[in-house]
Amino acid sequence: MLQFLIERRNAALLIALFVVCFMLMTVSALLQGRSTFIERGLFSLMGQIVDIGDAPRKWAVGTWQRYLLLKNAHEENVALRQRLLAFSANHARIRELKTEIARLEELLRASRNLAAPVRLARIVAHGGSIYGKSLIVDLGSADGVRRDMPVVHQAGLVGRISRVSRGVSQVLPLLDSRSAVSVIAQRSRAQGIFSISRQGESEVRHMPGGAGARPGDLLISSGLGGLFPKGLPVARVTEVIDAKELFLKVRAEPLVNFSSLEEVLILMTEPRENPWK
Amino acid sequence: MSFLFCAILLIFTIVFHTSAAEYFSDWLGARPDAMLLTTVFLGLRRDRAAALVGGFVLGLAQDALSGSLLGLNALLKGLIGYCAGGLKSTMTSRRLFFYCSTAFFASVFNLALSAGLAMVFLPDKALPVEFWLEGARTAGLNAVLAPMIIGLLGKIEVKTLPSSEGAPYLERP
Repeated sequence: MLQFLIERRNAALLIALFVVCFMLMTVSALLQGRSTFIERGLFSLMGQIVDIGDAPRKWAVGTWQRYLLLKNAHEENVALRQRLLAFSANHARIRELKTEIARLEELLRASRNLAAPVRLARIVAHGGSIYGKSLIVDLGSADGVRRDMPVVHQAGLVGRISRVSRGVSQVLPLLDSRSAVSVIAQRSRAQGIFSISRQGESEVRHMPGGAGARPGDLLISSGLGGLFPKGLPVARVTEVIDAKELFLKVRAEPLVNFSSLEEVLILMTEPRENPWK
Repeated sequence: MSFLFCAILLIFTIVFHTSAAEYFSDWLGARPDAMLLTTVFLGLRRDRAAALVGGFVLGLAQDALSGSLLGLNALLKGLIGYCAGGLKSTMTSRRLFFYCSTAFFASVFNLALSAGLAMVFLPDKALPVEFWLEGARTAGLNAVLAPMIIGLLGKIEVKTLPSSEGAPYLERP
């Protein structure tokens, strides 16, 4: 019998296939959806096989998803960095605008105290040579700027317009040795000439010996000469040396910090003619 | 070694059928019958008995996983394996068209006989139109994929079983 089955292996297997499968189908159809222990066992076995066999796929999918997350994180990081740079630039610009507004507010407040009309000018260049110092502002003759117009800042007098072109003008500042302003001490009313010496020191010349000038005294423009209107703050006395001579040796510092100057006001007044000229 | 290869192949087929084949379903609206293609491969590369047993095991797994009539796919795949094993000795060509046509006719046989058996064992359940449409799409997909899958499995078998006997069944000249 066994020998017969071995010889007719294919046919035996086919018959066995039919028998087993028809039995299974018959049982399955008779139970109408209720699972037999064979089905449960098979399902459990298949579940384990699928679970184990699916592990590499799960691992690959998980790795891929982690890679995508990392990639997205990297791209997001780059985008955020770019946004941060843009925000930093904006922040710096806003801070700059804020300080500019504060400066302009100060200038505006100072301009209200001036009787003459003013024009705001931005300093576009600082000039300097062995002959002296100068500032270049962005207003010129097209804006109504004329030679010798006073230039002021909220802190005090800056200088005067020395050269005018159509679009820009040159300012001769108080720091230039060619610049000299007739000043008066606000407290003692002593008069003198504020200028820069050849050694580069700011001083007040021709102040009388008995004038009673003291360090800390505010020097304002006297209005003499017709170039600058009277009453503009110019400098503050820092040192007084009484050499028992006709005039005092007075050192004074300009009130304006020229190194941090960015905007100035130009007094749009025609200088008065000096009758003594 | 040969038994181990077959066991791994069966497990791989079950896993493929339950996981990767789903992507085809999302993509093309039908999934290839990996069980059928593997059965055809076993029939064309092995003998009738191996293909019959392999097809029976795969069909049983398919029944268990799909929840359909237990034994239905086992019978169909066993028969397909048996027939494919018979083809090996009669067909002289192993070209692409042969794989395509074998997979296609095996799919049609699978579809028709499963419908017939379902009508016999589950007479109160009518077969919807989608059953035939999906069966047709599956048959087409099987025909397209058969040369690739069967050829690939054949190459893997030759590479993994470099025994002194060589490949189980060498190509005919």
